[in-house]
Amino acid sequence: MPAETLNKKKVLFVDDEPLVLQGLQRMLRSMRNEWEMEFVDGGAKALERMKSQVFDVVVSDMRMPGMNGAQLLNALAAQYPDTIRIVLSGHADQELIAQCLGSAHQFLSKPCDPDLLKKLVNETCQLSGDVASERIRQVVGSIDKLPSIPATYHKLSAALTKEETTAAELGKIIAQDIGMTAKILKLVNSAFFGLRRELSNPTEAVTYLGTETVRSLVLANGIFEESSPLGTRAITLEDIWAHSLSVGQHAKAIMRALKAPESDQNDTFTSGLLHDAGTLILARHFSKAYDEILDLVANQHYPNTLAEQRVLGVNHAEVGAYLIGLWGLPSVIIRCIQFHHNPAQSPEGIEKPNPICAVHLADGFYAKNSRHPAFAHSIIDPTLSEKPWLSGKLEQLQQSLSL
Amino acid sequence: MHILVVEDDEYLSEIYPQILECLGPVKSCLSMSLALLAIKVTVPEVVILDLGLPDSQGLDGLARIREKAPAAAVVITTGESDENLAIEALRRGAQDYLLKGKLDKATLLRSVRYALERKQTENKLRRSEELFSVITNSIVDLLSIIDSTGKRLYASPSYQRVLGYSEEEMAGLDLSDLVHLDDRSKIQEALARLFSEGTSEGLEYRVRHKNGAYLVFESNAACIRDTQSGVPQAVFVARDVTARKQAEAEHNQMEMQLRQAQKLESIGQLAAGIAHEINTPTQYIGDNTIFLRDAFKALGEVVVAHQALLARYESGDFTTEEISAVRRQFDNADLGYLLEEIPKAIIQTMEGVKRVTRIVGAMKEFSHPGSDTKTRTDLNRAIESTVTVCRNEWKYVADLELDLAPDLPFVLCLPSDFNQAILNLVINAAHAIEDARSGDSKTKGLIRISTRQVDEVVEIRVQDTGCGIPAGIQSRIFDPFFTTKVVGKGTGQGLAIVHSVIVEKHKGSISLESNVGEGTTFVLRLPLKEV
Ligand SMILES: [Fe+2]
Ligand SMILES: [Fe+2]
Repeated sequence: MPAETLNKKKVLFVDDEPLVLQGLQRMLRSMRNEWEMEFVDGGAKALERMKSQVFDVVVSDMRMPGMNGAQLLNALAAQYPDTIRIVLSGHADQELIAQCLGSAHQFLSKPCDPDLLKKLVNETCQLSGDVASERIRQVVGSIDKLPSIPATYHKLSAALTKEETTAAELGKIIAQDIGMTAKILKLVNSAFFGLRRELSNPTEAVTYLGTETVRSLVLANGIFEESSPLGTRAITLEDIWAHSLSVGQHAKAIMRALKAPESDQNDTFTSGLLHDAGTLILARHFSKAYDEILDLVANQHYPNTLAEQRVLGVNHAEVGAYLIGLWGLPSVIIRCIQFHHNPAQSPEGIEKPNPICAVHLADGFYAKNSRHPAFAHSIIDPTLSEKPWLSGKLEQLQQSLSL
Repeated sequence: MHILVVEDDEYLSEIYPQILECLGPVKSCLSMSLALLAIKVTVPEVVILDLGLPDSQGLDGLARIREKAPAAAVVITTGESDENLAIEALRRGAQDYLLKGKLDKATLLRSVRYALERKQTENKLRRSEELFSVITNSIVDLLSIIDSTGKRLYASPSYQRVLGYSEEEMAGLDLSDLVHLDDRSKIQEALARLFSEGTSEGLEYRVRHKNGAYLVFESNAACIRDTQSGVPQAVFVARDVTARKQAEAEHNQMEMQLRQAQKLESIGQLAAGIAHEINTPTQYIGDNTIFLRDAFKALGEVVVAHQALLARYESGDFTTEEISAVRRQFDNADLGYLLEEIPKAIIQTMEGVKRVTRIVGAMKEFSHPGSDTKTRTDLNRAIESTVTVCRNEWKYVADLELDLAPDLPFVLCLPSDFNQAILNLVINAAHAIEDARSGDSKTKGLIRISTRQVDEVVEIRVQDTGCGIPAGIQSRIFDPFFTTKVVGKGTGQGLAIVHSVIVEKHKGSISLESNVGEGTTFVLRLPLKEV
């Protein structure tokens, strides 16, 4: 029994309506062997409860008398950064949402599909379990934006001040930037914006939200952040960006060359752009450690993931997947990030061409032409090149991309 | 009076001054050049001018004198043979002529006196004409004179500027053709009244500019009579008020839009609140139903297993393993929990459905579509629906108490307008309470609504424990645009709408009792009998 309780995920539900809590409790009764659940009817009580028992996940209503959901989540983000914070609210109160855009990881709206809630809690808990270090979980849990390339940031600000800028133009700019792409997809994929399907293309996201919403999100709510220098001497944001953009474009080109459906090609670009989001996080938030990691790679020929594992106890694929998972982006993107160095271990496998394989190949091609220690050592999985769909075509594929 | 005599006959040039001395100082000159010099020194009022001078012959002398002394009266002296010339001189501005041969003292004096008088009248007239033309040329207003047939006798130059025509174009235009077709009869009637009764009121009509756009003119008219013929004429003083009219129209439009915006804003806010009020029960109705589905499945399996076991038992063919298997299934089925929770889940589901039904019903009553006419209305019920519809706006800050007189008579009113007024007051009360308790978010305020019949009036009191309204602004709170809320929150139309609904549309009254820090009570009074 004690061993079992240890593995159980602790989930706390907060709502001012007792009937909602009772309903959730009954509906989730079947999860009682996997989750340890508690139900409290107010923000203050939730904070009080957290003092004696830190929960892995908090699911909170927004409008509540006394302390509202936004205040609760902000307090939790400050005190318990590695707790996964999910909003479950009856209607999209723009004002309240804007107050916790940074502290809420995901937004669900009532009435909520129980399977979606279960899947969300399980998947994010799973990704969080992969990040073995509590300190890194805390850091990743409190990230509310990824840095943007200053030039791109200024380009976007300039475009937003012009009345006649179209959604397509904004989307094009956002699609060039790792931080902006990730954040806009986080917003558009949260259930609050009423989307019925997952979006992985920033241009579609901007079109869906509308230029006005994007304008106010960027200019008034400051959802994007112009990057300051990363703090490591080993790598710059521009290095990561150039690599990511190239991998995005080439992964998409590979999918096209392999005659994958158009929609998969688009997913693949975004996946490629975001695949090293973890590197960005490590370089930004663990700069000293990252210097050390690249030193191990350059001088002792450690593979990157191993060096990261040794210094930080976690690698950039796990960290990136955790953040993007917390942010609720489509699972194909999360898995591309998670498995881009070992596609054979992904649930999709490598028997057929798929976005994960494409990102892996593009990453490997880039390595051959790069001398940067962060990117030069990605090796294409040899078993992959033996698969019938790829065997004998690798060379040709690489040439067709003029690499 | 200065008199100048210009005469080359030496005898006459001595005689005239002697005769005229009695009228004022007289200067005598023998030639035109000397006369012009004299004029430079002193401008005379009267000039006696001979048309046959050595250095000036005929009408040329008259012209030169008039040029230098335009205000002077000129009397011509001439020989009998030149009477035609003298008459021509009169036409050119001389006041009188005298024939040299028939001149006597009395004739000369009389002629000079008359000449002077005529000249003075002429000068006065000219000055007033000049003044008139200066005024009419420079005024912004439009001045026109027409006769009783509608013919234009005069139109000030300002017409050209305002209507965009040149002087020549204007001369060829009939102003009445420029008046908007729909306004012509109005002008005709006003003119007819003016000419027959001599009175007129201010008139407003549209006139077409050269560019085709219509301007709005506002005019006053007066009736005058031509001094000579006695024929009546109408003097119009008109003003282009297009810009003012536009500004007025824009202002009205803006006020209307703001009211509409307030209505939309409250509808939008309500819609969000109602969505929340409906989504909350929907959430637990769904959750409970899923639980009941799973519970039924679990119970069903247990029942089916027992049924099978029972059949085996009846046939006498069963094993103890089978019994313990069913026992295990029974133990694992979480039956204690299910038996306790299933009735609750059912009750709560029904409660949720009731809540949704109540809100939807209230919404229907609140919006009351298509009620543009006054109908007998149960105000108690209207109030209940309204507070249900906007529950989400007050429930986080206040409790709400209804004290509705059960025997309240129905009131003839516009239900949706009345609901809007109550809604605005409740939201206002919620905001006042929110303001009062900012900082202390634990205690809730109280909103209390009561209805009573007092004589021939129904009294509705909306009371809150909010921040109160300072005496200094109590008189202004019903003004449109007046708001104490931060910019962006509220249009300042809320209470103005309450005022318009209760006072203007229902002939009722509003008063308020308020103490800062304690709260406010709005008292609405609606007459039971139609006024
Ligand atoms: Fe990587
Ligand atoms: Fe990479």
